[in-house]
Amino acid sequence: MTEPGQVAIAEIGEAIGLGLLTMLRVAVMIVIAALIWVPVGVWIGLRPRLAQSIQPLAQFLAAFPANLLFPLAVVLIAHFSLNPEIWLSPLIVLGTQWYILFNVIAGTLSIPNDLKESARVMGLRPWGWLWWKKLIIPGVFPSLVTGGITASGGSWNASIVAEVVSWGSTTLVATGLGAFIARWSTGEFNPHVALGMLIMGLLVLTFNRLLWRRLYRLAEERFSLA
Amino acid sequence: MMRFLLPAAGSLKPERYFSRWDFVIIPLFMVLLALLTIAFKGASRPFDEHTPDLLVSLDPVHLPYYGLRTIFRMLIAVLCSLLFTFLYATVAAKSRKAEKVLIPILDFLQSLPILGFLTVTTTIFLGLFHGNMLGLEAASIFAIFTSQVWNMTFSFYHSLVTVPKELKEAAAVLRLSAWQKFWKLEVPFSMQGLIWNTMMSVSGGWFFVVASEVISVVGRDHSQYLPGLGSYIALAIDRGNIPAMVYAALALLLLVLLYDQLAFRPIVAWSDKFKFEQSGAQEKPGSWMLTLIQRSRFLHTLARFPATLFERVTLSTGRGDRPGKPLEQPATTRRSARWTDALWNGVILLGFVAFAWMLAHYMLGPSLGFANGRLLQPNPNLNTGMTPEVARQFQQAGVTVGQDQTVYLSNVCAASKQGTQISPALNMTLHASGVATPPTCKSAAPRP
Repeated sequence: MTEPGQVAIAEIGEAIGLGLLTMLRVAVMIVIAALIWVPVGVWIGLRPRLAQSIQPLAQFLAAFPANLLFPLAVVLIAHFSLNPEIWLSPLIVLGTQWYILFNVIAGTLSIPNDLKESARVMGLRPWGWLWWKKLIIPGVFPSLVTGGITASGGSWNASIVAEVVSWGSTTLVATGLGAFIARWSTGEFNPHVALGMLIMGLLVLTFNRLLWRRLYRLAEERFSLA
Repeated sequence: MMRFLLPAAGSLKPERYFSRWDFVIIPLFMVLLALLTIAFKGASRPFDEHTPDLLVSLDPVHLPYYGLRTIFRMLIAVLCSLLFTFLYATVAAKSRKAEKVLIPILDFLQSLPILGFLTVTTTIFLGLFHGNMLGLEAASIFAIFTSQVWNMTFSFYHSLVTVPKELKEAAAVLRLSAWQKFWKLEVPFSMQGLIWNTMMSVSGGWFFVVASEVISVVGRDHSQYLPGLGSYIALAIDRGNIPAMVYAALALLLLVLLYDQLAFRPIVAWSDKFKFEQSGAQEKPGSWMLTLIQRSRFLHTLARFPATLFERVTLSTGRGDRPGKPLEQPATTRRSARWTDALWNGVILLGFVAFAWMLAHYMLGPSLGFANGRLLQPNPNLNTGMTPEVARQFQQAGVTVGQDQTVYLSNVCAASKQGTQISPALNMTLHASGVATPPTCKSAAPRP
């Protein structure tokens, strides 16, 4: 039985550094996912009938286990000899991007019809800048924040399987806290895994406190529907 | 409130126990009951040391049964998630003191990889349901639950916190009790977000279904494949059986379509009435299933008793003439309130420090960062400059040195009895200039 020793003090610093790298990765990928899925979610949410037919498709896509696509990514990255530090990053939002989509649809569906009608009366051009600023963003914002929090939490979790990916004889590694935990995971709980998870939890906590909570406050104060 | 004062819309019509819609509803209801019974029977078989290892068959004939078993597990997991959500999020949203602890715990838990610790929970659940398969089922359901619950709780909590002030004031003016306010204002307001997050959770849970229906049990050499679509997929992937994978994907698609039509679509159509608006949209979601349920007299008859009970409870909590709590906190809090706040913060801080101390005690210690003979981190060459002098020093300290003057960490590890016994000479060398000792090892080896 191999027994990994305890953690040396210096390893804590190392883990924090790796955590910041993963944090950067998660943040960038969540922003990209939001830029893609917010317009799509709003488009679907404005058409309740269409939303009903798309609903099962979205559920199926979200149900499809994302890790089945990892080998494909390995093959592509190896074939085009891309930098795994960058190109492995999309894998961490592969399974969690749907949190954003589903929450944006829910947010758009709950925009009161009164507001939509008054926006039309005021002559706000659909998909125009004012329409986004005055109607959609205030309406969707609270749900978007919920989607963002849960998606980023899930992405942190996914980084453990997505920063070290192998297929056949190729193994690609992206430096980060996820890879750190994956490397130390030997099947049993050990001090190094505990350290990695502790740092991960604390970073998520800090991130949620510093960023998402403020966005929530903003949602409550400025973007309330009433 | 009006509903308590005026008779319900249909109450003047002559009482009927069945309508023609019941020709569909009653058989559906019976089928549902039968399926639940079959699933429960399968899930509660005996399971002890003498039971042969559980395995699934890749024959697609079994897929309907496997699908049923998996859906049964997901159903229970979703119900547990909903229960947890209603309790946890409500407490967190209502009590400022509880919020300070509950929300950070939620943040923390949702980011942790719980899947890795299934073995621990399996042992616990097997002990709980001794000699029965329900132990394995519960372990699998628990794993699915942990994947589903967080976003639902977050969504509900955030909806509760962001209920518009005007509506809260209206509830206060109408003298609603806390219980009435919860069911008449807060739950309807949160419905839209909760429903879509439940939908997302059920979808996201499939990943955990695949991962958690194959369970390793202490004392058995092989993993146990619980009958289910998840095990089927796992086995198909394991054996590289492409046709089976295609069958599994088709079964997944069919199941998603099925529960969308039978459950989520009616729920979404029903929840449209909770939208916070005065005018109606032209385009409204509809569902044949919802129409069926609403027009069935049989289900109405069934629901009459619980519905009456619920209304009774709701009415009995009425505030009457007692004044409620003020909506806005007074500007100057009483001194005793400030004291309890400070005390509470102190308790939280103390708990956190104790937890951190325990963790530090468990984690920190002398280590070169490798296991007995096996290196758990990349194996760097410590003599980066390939200096002969450094190589010689290492050699003298008993470390095997490569022909090209390389000194690998693994060799240092082997020479120092896995980093537990570091001779003074080796320690000196590790800290010498020109030696790229990893920071982990450097601090583990005490400075000479």
